[in-house]
Amino acid sequence: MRPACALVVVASLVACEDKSAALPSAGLFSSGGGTEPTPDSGTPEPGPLPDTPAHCASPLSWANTGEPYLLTYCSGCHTSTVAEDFRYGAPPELVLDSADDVFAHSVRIQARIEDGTMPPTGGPSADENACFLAWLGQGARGLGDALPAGPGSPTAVAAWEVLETVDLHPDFPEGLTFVSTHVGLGRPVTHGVWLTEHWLVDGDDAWLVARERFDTDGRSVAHDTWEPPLLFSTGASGDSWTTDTVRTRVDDSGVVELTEVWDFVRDVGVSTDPRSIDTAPVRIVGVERGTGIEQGLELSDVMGPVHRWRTDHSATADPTVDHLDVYLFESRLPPLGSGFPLVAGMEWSARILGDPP
Amino acid sequence: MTLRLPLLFVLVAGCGADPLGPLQKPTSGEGAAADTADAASEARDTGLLAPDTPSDTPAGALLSPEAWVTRASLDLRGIRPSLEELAQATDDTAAALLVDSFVDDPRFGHRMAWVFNDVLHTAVWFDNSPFRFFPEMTTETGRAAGFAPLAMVEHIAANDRPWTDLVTATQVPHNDRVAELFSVPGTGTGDTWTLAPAWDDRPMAGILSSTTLWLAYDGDRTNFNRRRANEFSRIFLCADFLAREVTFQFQLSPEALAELERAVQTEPACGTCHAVLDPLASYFGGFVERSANEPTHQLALYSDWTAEWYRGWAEPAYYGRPGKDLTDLGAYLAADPRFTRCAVENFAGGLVSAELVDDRLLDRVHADFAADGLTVRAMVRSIVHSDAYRSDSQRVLTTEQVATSVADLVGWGGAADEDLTHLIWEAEYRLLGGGTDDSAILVRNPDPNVGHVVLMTWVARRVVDDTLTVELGRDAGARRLFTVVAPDDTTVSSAEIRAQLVALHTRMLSQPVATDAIEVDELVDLFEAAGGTADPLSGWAVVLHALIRHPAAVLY
Repeated sequence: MRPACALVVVASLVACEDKSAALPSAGLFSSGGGTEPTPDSGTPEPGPLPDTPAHCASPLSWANTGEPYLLTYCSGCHTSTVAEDFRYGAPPELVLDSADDVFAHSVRIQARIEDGTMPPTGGPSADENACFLAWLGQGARGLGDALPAGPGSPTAVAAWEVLETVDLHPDFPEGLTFVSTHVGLGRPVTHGVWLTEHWLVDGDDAWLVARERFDTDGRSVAHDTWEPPLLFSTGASGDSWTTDTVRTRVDDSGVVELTEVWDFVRDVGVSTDPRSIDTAPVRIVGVERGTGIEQGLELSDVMGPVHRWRTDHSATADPTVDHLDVYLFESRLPPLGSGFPLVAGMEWSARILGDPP
Repeated sequence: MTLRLPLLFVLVAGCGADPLGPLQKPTSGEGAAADTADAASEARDTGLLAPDTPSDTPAGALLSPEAWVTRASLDLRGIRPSLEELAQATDDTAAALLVDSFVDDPRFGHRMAWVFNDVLHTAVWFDNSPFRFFPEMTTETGRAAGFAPLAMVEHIAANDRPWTDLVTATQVPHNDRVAELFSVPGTGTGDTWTLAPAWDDRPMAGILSSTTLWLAYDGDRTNFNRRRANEFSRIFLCADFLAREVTFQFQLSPEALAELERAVQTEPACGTCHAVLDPLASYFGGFVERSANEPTHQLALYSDWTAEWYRGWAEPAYYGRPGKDLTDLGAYLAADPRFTRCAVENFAGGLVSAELVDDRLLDRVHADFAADGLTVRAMVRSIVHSDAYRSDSQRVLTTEQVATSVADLVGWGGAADEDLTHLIWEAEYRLLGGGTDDSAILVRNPDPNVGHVVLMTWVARRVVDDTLTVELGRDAGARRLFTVVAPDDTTVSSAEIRAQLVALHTRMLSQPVATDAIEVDELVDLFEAAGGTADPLSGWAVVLHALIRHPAAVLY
């Protein structure tokens, strides 16, 4: 992994206007209610409640001051529903879902706002800080309902972007090699070559010969070779054909040979996806009889291949995570024409949806 | 507030058939003409008139009842008050009743849509967009597409729907012009807007599901919809990430983009904004990204595939709360206290001079808004009854207001009305009048300037002759401006001329004057100098020219 880029913060939070607002106050902690949360550190110092600055809402409340400030500047990292990987280092215990949470951490919050270290690069204006700190100093009062947690989201399919190049490979001089390089856009963040595919291309026909996948260290994870190769044709005399083949897989467990029968169908696909350049592309789908593994291509009359995918129903019971879709981003491609008008040296970006095969 | 007519300058500048004089802030007393001429000279030198000086009215002074009614009528209906309405505005109580009636006017919803366009900036965007060269883009389809999100605002305002409908409704306004542009099923209603579900199975959340909104604020393959997320935050939460007080210096490797993206996802400093911005951006993944190769019929489609891709790129979340799609986003937004507060801020910003909008005003209006079902009427009623709204501070009509108010004054309809629509829809005219083009110029110029002189001169040239012709063709009782004399009558008395001038001054400038007022004296001089009773059509034409180009025709 390369080091992250260096960020130099040269200026940050503007100092709070009213630093005299002592927190917490005796009034807040001597109420004897018994149900209020205890501030996370410090000993209450007796003192008057801070005044409300003239420019702030009055009276200060959770709805008019606390919650808007919290949502705008804190919730992205400090909400209980934010997964650890997306909290930018925010401590898991520092959850600010409600006014009660804020009050419980009020000493720490005030200190970080006043010393300009939170939010990390600033953001709130001095006026906003002054109002929020006054509300905090007055006991984070006007407790209201926090914004609802809302619906949970289903587990997202992995998604990232790659740079794909068409190349001549010294070990595969008879055809073309697709090299997919993960460029780190999207999550999970990884870099480097993650997939290569060897294709034979001849006019309207193309054969998938081999596919190799790599891990983030560039180590080969699995190498599949089909003999004979899988034919994707737009020029065949019929609309369907069958390929009997042997797949040879080389991976950490050794070498395995699998006899496979692939049934191919060519038709006119109807896609409503704006990323497919044509609403009626040529669609070629191959299904392996024994496993149900599906491989497909969509080819536009304008752009050549624009979409390919792989669906392995045997991989997992969860249909949302067992497929691999690759959309080529035509916005970076010149018009290509129908069939497989691929030549060495071409490149495009592509977006991939799905876990690696 | 009293505005006085600098007619003397008009006379000095030229008493011919087409006297031209620059729009100028009101002056009064001796030396007005010289002052005006000096200022005009300066304007020619600098390209702009000198900025307005503070009113001599004591700070905190309120508009007269008549001026309040005029301002409210122009803001809420887009037209000037009638002579009868001005006559009724004898005191604050009577004026308040009239102002309330304007809030209930059928034109209110449409006006509020235009007020909100100063936030949304979609109305005339298409005219300046890359799509203007598309064969499907016509005047009608482009305007319809630009107004589509605003039609939702109009619907909500006119029908007293809660403001939250804006981002939660399952049906949105649609018409045949939009359908024509995007090659999607129409409504059979022509130009008329009707509520309909989306033409595909996209998740619905009012205008958050709008194709045209997210074409105007598009994404590309490098910003990952972050622009859309920021505009969402700016428009609906008044929280513009780009306005935050943060400063960075970057030291990037040659592989800058990937490095930057990784930092954005991991560095706490970046997380200050991106912890919220990126999960918000991921809600908009289904909308098309900028591409030179997209035909229009694909621009309008929502892609489930790319929506899912973005969900994988960054799990959608609303300020830390996870969601799945636009419908969840709309629900979160509707529950957020910043959303309704921001609506108040936006409408108050559109109806009250910026320097007078403060938290006290916003608090009170917000309370009224919340107490009355979050209807736009309740909010705007609260605004227009506030002292801030009634403050005697000069405001400048928008070009939309100029167009609708002049059209209402002359009332002839037909082709010439179409000319006035240039002021509403065409960037050149809008910018001349200090407006926005919804593309590069997004902030109105709140001050009168030399552009208004040119604009109102153009307006006068377009409407005066037709107005006289149409008025002549009307029965005496049906005339809209010449209610005292016929404009070709050579036998009218001096008293009748004065009475007609009083009516014109009152109707066209919303400023009642006495028959013997100096303003009327000056108009009489103008009428006589241009032909008088020997050539009354020329005389009245010059009077109409002068009144349309009078500063009070655009200041209110």
